[in-house]
Amino acid sequence: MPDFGAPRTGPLPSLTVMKAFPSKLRSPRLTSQLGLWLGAMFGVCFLTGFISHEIQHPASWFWWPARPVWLYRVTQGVHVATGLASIPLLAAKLWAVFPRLLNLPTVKKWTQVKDWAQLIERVSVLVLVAAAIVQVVSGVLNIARWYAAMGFFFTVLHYWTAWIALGALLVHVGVKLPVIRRALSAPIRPLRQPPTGLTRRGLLGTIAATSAVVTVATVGETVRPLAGVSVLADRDPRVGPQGLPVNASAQAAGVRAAAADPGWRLEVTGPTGSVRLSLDDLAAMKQTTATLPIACVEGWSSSADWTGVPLRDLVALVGGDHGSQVTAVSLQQYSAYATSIVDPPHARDPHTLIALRLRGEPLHVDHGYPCRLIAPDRPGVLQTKWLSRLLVGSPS
Amino acid sequence: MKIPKPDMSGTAWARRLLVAAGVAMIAFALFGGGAASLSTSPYLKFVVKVTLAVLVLALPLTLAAGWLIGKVVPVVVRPIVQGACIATALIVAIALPAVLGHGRDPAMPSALPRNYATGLWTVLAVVWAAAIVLIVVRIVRRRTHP
Repeated sequence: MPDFGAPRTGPLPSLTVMKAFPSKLRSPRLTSQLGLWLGAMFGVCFLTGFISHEIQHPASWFWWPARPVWLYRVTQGVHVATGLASIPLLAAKLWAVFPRLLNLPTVKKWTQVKDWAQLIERVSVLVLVAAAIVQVVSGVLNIARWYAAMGFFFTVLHYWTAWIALGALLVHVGVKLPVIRRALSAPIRPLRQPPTGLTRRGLLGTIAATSAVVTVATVGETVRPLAGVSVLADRDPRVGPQGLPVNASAQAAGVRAAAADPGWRLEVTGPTGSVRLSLDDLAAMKQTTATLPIACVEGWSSSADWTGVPLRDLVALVGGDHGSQVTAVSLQQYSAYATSIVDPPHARDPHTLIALRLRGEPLHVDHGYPCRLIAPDRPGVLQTKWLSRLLVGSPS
Repeated sequence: MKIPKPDMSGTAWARRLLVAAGVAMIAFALFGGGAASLSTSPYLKFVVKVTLAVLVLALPLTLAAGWLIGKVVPVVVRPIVQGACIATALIVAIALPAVLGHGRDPAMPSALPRNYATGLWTVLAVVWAAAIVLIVVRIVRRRTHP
């Protein structure tokens, strides 16, 4: 590894450990620069992930608009793209601090911890490293749908581990702040010898370029113009029934027979009573066409023209108003996504549809035939397919 | 050269706030609803497995590869080869779950719809093509401006 002449500040790991890692490329400056970018990217992932979680499991204070229609598509696309782009940074950061990780206190040294701050810092480093690795590995496995490799329900654990990862990151930054500030503000000394390998700038450039390559190779799953070059994207927004991907098939959901049943009716219940509507009844109502994206929590998204009955017309049919909330219930059973709540901003939006057609054709059964919910600015898991009932009421 | 000390006024409070916020976030996860999920056996096994895989397997392998490159690759092209190897290792790691294809479902052809082995080779070909161009430029420059 090259001889890099950047100043070293802060306590060093023991000489024994350092001798095993002769690269002079490691320095507090490199570690701080990597940490700065990684911290920013983890912050973006946490914020966008938190938004996605709150949309699906809203706290009483949370509010999410129906417009612009593409907002969730952007926040979740950024979430996954940033998470993937952060992997090279995390790897470089772990490489840069590896000797220090090996130099974590032995049992004897744990008993010699001087104060609570030192104890918290040492524990937070272990927690931070494990949580960061778990977040990116589980994220990659999830978008590749390799759920068996995890063995747990991804979304719940990804959410709670994110709190731990960001919490440990804040503790770490708080403890290391003087070292970080010194490292970033110290002047760079000229090199004593010409480098024989990557310099600090070379390494940072390599990491940035790798993140850029990973982004271009995957972001086409949501940025349609790049779909042709995103050869590692887990989805292609152009591929699927009726040219649109799906995340759950009718066969996997166990609804094929129920969806094809000629006796199917959509039951709409509200303050003034219930109505049961056949597909012909729905088709006879005023139809609206809207261009809306399906935006999956896994980061892919794709827009299409949907045609159907505005949900607010059905709400009005059973005595609901602009303040009504709707519960959409699927034919699907035994699934966490078999029902969804449509809050008033979305329920009254003229582009929230009970869709009967996609791109001018009847819905493919994998897209929710006989009818499905499609609303602007919501995650795909809340765009309930194979509808059986709509319950109109007041927000709880 | 003496390194000037940066102005640290206000740092103490910033540190306290950061540590307090961080501890509060961890406490929220552990005591605010996440404890039941976070303490499950599959999750804890996963945490141990992936952390050890990275720290005990992947990082030492990286160090060994770095040492080998330092021994066998000529100095003139070493930084570029190091950079291309770093990019290769990271891209392979990120693409591996899709290449293995364990998440494929015959009932849902729109999930993992591409040939990811071909995609991976394509991306790596681009990376190494760029590396070869940089190597040629570096050698030519060395010869014209020794």
